[in-house]
Amino acid sequence: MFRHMQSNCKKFSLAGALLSLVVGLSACAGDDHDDHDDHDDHDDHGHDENEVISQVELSFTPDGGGDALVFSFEDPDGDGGMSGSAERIELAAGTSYTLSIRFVNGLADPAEDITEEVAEEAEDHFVFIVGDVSGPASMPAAALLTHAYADLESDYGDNAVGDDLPVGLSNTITADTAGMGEFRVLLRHLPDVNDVPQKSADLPQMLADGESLPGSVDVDVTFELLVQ
Amino acid sequence: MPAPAQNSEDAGACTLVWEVLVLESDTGEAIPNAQLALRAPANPSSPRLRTEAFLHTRADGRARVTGLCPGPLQVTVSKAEHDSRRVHLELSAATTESLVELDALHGHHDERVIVVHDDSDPTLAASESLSGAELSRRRGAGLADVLTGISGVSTLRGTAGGLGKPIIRGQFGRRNMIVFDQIRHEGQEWGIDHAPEVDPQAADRVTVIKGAGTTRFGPEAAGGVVLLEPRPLPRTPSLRGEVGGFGYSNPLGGGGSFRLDYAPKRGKGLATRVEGNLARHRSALTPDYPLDNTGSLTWNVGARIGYISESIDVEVGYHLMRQQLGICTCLQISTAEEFQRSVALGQPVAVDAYRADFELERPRQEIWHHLALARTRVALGHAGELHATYSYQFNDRQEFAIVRESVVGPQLDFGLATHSLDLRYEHAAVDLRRWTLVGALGAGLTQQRNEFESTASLVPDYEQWGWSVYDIERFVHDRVEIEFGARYEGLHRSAALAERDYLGQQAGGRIDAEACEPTADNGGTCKHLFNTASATFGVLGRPIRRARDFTIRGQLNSSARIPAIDEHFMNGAAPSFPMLGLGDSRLGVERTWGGELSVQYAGAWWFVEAAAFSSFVDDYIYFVAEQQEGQCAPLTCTTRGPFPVFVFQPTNALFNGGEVRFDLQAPRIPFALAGSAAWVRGHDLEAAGPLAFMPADRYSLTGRYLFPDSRLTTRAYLELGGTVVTRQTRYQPELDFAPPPPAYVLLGAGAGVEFLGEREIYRLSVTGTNLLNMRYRDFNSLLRYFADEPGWGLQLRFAVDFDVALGS
Repeated sequence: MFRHMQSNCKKFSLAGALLSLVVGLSACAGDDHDDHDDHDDHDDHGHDENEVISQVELSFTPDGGGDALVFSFEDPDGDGGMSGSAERIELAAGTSYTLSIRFVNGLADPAEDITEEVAEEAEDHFVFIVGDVSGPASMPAAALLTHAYADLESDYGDNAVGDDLPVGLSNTITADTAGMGEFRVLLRHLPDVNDVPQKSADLPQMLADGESLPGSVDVDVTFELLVQ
Repeated sequence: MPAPAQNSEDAGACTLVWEVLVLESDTGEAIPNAQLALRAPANPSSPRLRTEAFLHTRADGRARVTGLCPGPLQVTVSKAEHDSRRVHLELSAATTESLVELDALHGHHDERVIVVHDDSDPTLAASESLSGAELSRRRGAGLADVLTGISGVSTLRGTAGGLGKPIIRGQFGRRNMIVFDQIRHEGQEWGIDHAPEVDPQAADRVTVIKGAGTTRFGPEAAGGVVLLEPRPLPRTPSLRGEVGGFGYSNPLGGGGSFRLDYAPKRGKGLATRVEGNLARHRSALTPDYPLDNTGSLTWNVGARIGYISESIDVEVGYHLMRQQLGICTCLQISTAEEFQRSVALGQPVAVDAYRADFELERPRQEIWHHLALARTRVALGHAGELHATYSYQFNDRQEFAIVRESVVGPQLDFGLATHSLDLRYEHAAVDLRRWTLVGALGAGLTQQRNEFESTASLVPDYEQWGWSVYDIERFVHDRVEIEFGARYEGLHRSAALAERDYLGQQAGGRIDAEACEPTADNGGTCKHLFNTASATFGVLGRPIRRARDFTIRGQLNSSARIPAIDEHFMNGAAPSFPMLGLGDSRLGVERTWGGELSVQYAGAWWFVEAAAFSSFVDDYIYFVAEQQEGQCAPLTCTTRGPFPVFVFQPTNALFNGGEVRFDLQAPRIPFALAGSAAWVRGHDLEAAGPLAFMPADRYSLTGRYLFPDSRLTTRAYLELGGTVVTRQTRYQPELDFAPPPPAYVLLGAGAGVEFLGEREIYRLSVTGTNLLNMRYRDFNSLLRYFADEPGWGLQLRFAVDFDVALGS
């Protein structure tokens, strides 16, 4: 019945097999230093878990004052089960906002804020905003919004390695043009590979140019965007 | 077969006669068709014995050689499934008589239950074995690599060194069975890169049954069976064993192994074994870059003790395997667009930072696999004999993802505990005039419990009980053997789904309402009961009276496989690929109707076999995409992007294929030639297209130069061979993430020699793989989406087999 889909929804049988790649490749990010003593306590998994991100919360605070507008993507039952869903972002044309982004693991009880851990490892993480947005990682012919980074790694701790690059947990968004479009948020985890840092200043440009980036995807969610 | 009068020409005093009787030490039975290789020092008066002469024992285990000259004579007696033995004679009398006893390498059976004292195959399906020197040339390799070279077997390769599982005639994973020491291996079968946790070094013989072995082993053996058989404990007082070492250049590493068997002179019947091995290697190198983080560390230890007598055998043993395997850094989670770009780019992003080192970083897998066993064989006099085996396996698998620093420990943790009890009654051979009936009646009981720990749902915890009864009867005639087998089995599985898992699957309509009910903690329990029947019918014929080595075999089978846990309940994502997998607990059994036909000629100097098979699978459980509703329709929204959803769904499938193999070695010509070819075709009958993941056609040819034996060395050879794997052209582009890789040729070479001591054999071999350093990707390797396969490498192996007789 679904065997002849016309969508980009590919059907791979090997997919079954590939699924198992779950093995050691869970999406969350980070570095890998210390897993000593990890296989001695089979019964104590409380802090051995991975922080799955099940919710992405965008808070747009108008620069001229006013309440923050909050829009979320949520997948409350995790990857399996039901599809996640995103609220529509509605912004006012001609307004500038400070956008702060939160990542939450709603699968843990109580829910866990992953943003802090991303901030702690700011030098290994990079948020990109693309879609109908003009900014460092996205240069469409006609954009509804303009994006600029409003933070640096040093805002979250020492900038130990390389340049003091943006992280993207805090951003400036200017709503320029009324219209409908897409707003896509990507969180890239960029741990060192054999002590070679993977985060660099040219990653947003590479993404805009359609090049492949190092590291792995921790978040890739798309919101409908309405600027009026 | 009458012994040819090899040396009838008299020359001078060369008129002596040697008569020999070859018996099996265990049963005292005569061994027919044992090969005798005679070597005498150069003697101008006996020119034909200057190098070597061969003959075989007759049906009564005897052979007679005439025309021998006085002086020393060295004879090597060998027979499949038996230890070889070397005898030194000093001929002077007109007739010299010798008795040679060979130790059997198969399990002991009462002579009453054996009808043909032969190395006849355990099944009428096509099978192929590796043992002795051939197996020792693969020591130190993982199971999948050990099986490389067996026709019809390819490897489903993972992304870490040594990881891989065999594909037998296009079937892999849960449709194949791995049996170690008569015990079915129980691991996390559902993962493609979950390589089976068995120790091929503990096996003395590895047999692949290509095709259904379902009656004896169960419906999961519908694809095929890999049998790993350790060497039996010694039955006569002796101290024997094997010590070996190996080293590789790519991936750089090595290791060693030992096995020590001891049967004391006092305490007759007692025997013990200790064994162990250790191997470590760093990341492999492709021709252009290292496969970062693909090193591994593996060790095994085992011990067993047994009491062996004519009427009863008792054996207990324990085996522990430890594996730490790095997974290639190249498996990065990327967006769908990036993934496609990376495939097109042909090499991983960030490859400049890749290194080949021993350090195992995340992602990696760490596994402990415990196997404890106790077994007995009781002779029941004229009734036959009874075999009973109890085993306990615990598979403890931890998988470590790349995580933030605050997280320690594994992200996925599986504990699979399996108890099993097998009973087998082998009835005494029944004489039916010109026919003899042999057979076995068996029953099994297993209890299995799986515990899975992770934040995300994937596979639920479950407990299951399985039971089975079977009967196999073989009617044996001089020229025809007919085998009937029937099996009935059942499984009761109770799966405990956590709240999020249960509610999600229920909302998706994937929960079997009749089998599942909610629990107090908002989760659900699903209980399924299955009962299935399987049957096989096989015939072996020797149609030509004068050519008994020519056989025709056919087998028909029908078997019903019970859905595995993941097929019922998988609910999770593979982060490395933009996709989500869902099981369906409404799935029923998958029934296979299969048949195969093979012809074989196994002569002394040439061996040829051709086999063809076909099987129709009704309600074949296949993984296909399903359109979703919602914001991301037809995909599903996840925090890592819109993923397609794949579900386990029944379809009808047809598998066809065949293998041809040959091994030629003409007498007195020092060259040998061996080759094989294998084809598999899989069709999805409902979608009218090819099934995914079918191995590409495979051809191999190896030429070997055989050095003449010298006073010190034997079986020295030099070989050069190639394997051609064609491009898989039968695929549906929309069914795969990337087009199939091009055809490739792998050049291999090897050399080896054995040095014979009085009671030792020293084996030395070196092999080279991918000697053209070809850059290639294999259709059945997961690595193909990310990186190339390893480039050229050399492997050096050394082993000593020793045997110290302690008197009897």
